[in-house]
Amino acid sequence: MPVIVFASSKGGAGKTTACTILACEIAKQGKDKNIGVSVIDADPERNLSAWAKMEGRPENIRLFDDVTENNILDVIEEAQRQTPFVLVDLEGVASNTVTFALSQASLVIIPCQASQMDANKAVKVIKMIKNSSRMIGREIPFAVLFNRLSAAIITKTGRHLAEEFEGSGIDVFKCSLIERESFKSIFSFGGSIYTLGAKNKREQESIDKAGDNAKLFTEEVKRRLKQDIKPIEETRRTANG
Amino acid sequence: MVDKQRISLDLGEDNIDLEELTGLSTHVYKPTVHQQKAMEEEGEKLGFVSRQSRKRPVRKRSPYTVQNNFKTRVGMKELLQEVSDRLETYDQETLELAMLALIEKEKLNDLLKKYNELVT
Repeated sequence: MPVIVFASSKGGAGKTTACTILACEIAKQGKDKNIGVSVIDADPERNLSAWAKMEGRPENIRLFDDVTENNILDVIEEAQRQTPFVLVDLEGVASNTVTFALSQASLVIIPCQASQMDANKAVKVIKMIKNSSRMIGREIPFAVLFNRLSAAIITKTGRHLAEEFEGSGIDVFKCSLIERESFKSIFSFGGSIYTLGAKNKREQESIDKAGDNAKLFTEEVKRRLKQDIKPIEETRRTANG
Repeated sequence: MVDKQRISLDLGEDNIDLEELTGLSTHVYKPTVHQQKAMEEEGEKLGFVSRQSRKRPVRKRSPYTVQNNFKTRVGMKELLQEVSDRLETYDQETLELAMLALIEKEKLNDLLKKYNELVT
């Protein structure tokens, strides 16, 4: 069962937003198929928990909070038992909780704004992922997700950072999350972008664009999971030699 | 011509069904205690440290707080130390044990009660 970890040792990079967007999309797609998703709030700021406790949270999203470095591994294990998809929203600092969660990831998404500070912190997490991979003897797939970008322009810094990552062989999501009011509003009103409700045509267009962006992001996550993880049968065959 | 619409190019990739992904094995095991320790040590080098609040160990206060100076015969101090050494007790405890033995031997019951109140 896929465990998707959102990590960046910088606060405000967009971990919680990206995690919530993905959780809502998976919940929407999985609703009729009885597929649930667990969200683990491992950030002491508890923004994800605050959102999850508001009205409108999709019924097939399960919240796990009260997470510490002592129980993070057990919480991930329990969440995997309860739902096929597990998303972990980590704290925006470098900590043991981050270290332990990385070791369990099927995919690590590193949200990064188009700023040098965010990129520096992303590199720090990438180094930690590589260290963890070496220690647990397993490749941990990861990719940088450019977040909160302007819909209109690509900044020079943004272009430079994308080239830097590419030049260093660091995987970057093809799609980016655009800075949209709808993504922010869900933390004020609860629920998903689909339950926001528009007052006029312009607002509806804005919500639709956010929806398209969320879908594009989710599809890329799914493609990455499919490409990086082997089917259960194949894994069993490999394990049995 | 005006009413006709051009078809759009379908450049999007096919969507993946969620059920396809639930059949994937992440094949992840919890790191062993040894691996966790190694990860903590490696993480520390990169600044990934424990953020858990650590409880300060509370030092147990000694019940022996009153000083009592008295003179003894030459060699008596060393004798007391020797007894304590054999009983594996501190000198203060040896003295208390000796007093208890004396109180019990002489059947000084009123003092025995007081002794118990002080020691327990």
